[in-house]
Amino acid sequence: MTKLMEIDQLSIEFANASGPIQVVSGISLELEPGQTLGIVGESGSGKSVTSLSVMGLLPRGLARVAEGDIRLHGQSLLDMSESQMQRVRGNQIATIFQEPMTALNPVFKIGRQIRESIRQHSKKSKKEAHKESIILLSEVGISAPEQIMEVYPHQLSGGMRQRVMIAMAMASNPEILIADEPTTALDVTIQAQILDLMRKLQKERGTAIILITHDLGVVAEICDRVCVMYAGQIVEQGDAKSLFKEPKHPYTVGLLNSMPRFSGEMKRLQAISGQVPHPSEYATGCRFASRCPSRMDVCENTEPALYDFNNGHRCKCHLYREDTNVTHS
Amino acid sequence: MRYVLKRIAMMIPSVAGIIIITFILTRVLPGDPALMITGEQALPEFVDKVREEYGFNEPLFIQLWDYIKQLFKGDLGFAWHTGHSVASDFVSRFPATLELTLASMAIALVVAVPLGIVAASKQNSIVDHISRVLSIIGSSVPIFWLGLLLITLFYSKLGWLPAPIGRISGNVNPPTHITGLYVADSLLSWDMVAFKSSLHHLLLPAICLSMGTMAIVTKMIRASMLEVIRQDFMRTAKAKGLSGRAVIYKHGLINSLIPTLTVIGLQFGALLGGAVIIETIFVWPGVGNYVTESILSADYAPIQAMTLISAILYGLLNLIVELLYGVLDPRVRYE
Repeated sequence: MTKLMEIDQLSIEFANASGPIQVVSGISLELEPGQTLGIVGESGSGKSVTSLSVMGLLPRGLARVAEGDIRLHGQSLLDMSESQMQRVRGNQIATIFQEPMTALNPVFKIGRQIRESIRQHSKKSKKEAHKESIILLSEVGISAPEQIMEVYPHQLSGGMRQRVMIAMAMASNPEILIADEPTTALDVTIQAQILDLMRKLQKERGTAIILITHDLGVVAEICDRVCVMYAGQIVEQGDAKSLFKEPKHPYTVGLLNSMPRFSGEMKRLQAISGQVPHPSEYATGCRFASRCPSRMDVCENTEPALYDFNNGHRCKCHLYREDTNVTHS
Repeated sequence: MRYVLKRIAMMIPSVAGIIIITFILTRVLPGDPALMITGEQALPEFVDKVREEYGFNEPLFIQLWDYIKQLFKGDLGFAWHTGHSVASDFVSRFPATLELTLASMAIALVVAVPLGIVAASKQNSIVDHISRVLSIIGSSVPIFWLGLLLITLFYSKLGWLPAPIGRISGNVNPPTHITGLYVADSLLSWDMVAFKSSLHHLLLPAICLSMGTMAIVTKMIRASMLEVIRQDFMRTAKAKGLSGRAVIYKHGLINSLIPTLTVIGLQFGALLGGAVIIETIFVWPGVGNYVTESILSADYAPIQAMTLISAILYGLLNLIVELLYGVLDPRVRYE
């Protein structure tokens, strides 16, 4: 299959009084058309920053891409001018953010905000855009779209707002939808509805989705492929099925063990001890070493290579240095 | 509507307070009005007679009671130093103050709003530094000093502007009275001579008066825009593919104007009450000048009336600001 998007050895730095701090270090991933890719990790693992860098929305002056490349259809997004990026944003790549409460402009009616998304990338008249907005709203499961067009964001519930956000994101039929924790701020029942909706839209339109979340349950439910991020690196990635069945990295194992399960015997939930280190304190060796239950001497000072298990399942851990072939360091 | 009535009703206690306090304060002021009316050379019997006639020797609370009764009849009193009723003095002088206020407000906003926005959207750029320097200057330079400086420069040295006296040159006929604002009237009646003269006269006092407002509004817009820029919905707008400028002006501007509105309203109210210093320096025949004259001649009635009027204007402007909130911000609802 052709690659829709590739992230190649991407590193992102944040400016800091005592010099730049690397918050994302050399991550590589690929996205195929229509695929759902989950990026999982704790807060501070660099997953949101990665998504912002794809959109070219890193806070200017504060964060920048230090190394690597992001390519859409083989074309580098980082080499694009701001006006070229504006044609990509909201058109080829759209985003929905975590906080539906604050992600809509409080002083404009819903209708205006959706019309704006439509008209930004097409030459449709206001009337056409209005009609299309109503269709979009009904597609995202809003039952009285004409009325919703005329209300302000604060008059809607969180779930409704997230539907509006999705309608806005789907307005120009993007190839990639980046969903940054789209369900975190919502009630559990609403979460399920929103996930169903995203799945439905993906099936209808063939949009590829990058789903950023800390919720492995959500990933298991809708993702084809998963990247597990820890401390600014991808420590493991692979097909959702094989990754959940045979997690390789001790961190992934830890994450899975810390999830409640409804089947099987009742066991105490196992938390991963310790905390995600601050980016300025990343270890020279394996960044997970200090919290790892299977730590070895080598982990201390040598950064593990990325080992490939031949089916696209890759893991960055010294445990596998004998079993497999090194792909790249 | 009910909200408006309720708010107006809420103004009553504060207005009552102001009536009483200004009444007492004017009496405490040094200076014997009877002596001022009669002149210092007058015979003591005559002075006593005047004192009797005006009721100045009644007990204070009786005088207050009489004053309140008079106010309820809608009578603001008589200004003996001009020889007219206070109401007619106010009507003839208020347009001058209004013209000055509107002009200085316009100058302030035209400079402050774009400056504040650009300063915020390009934080720490040259424009941002200029905006900060300007706000410091605007809020710290004494207005009388600036007034005199501008007069020295533009009138005495350069001779670009006419003598800073009044609203229009003595040898030019004032325009036909339509709104009472000379600049507007002369434009409406297409009297270019009067327009040029009145505009020239308006320029310096308006600039002087605008400095303070300009400084505060620039600071407010900059601060609230910086706040708004960090909001999630601004990122959403960017993610839609809008240009940076469109994001700022379409999505940011209204949101950043909401908190600034309060300041603009308060400034407007303060200016309408009469810019005492500026009107005195530029011999501007407005309310501020009138108040100064009244204080100097210990003329109680106009002092009390002008304080009362400016307090009411202030209250009404605050109400207007609150109603404007509702227009700008749909989250605001009145009940």
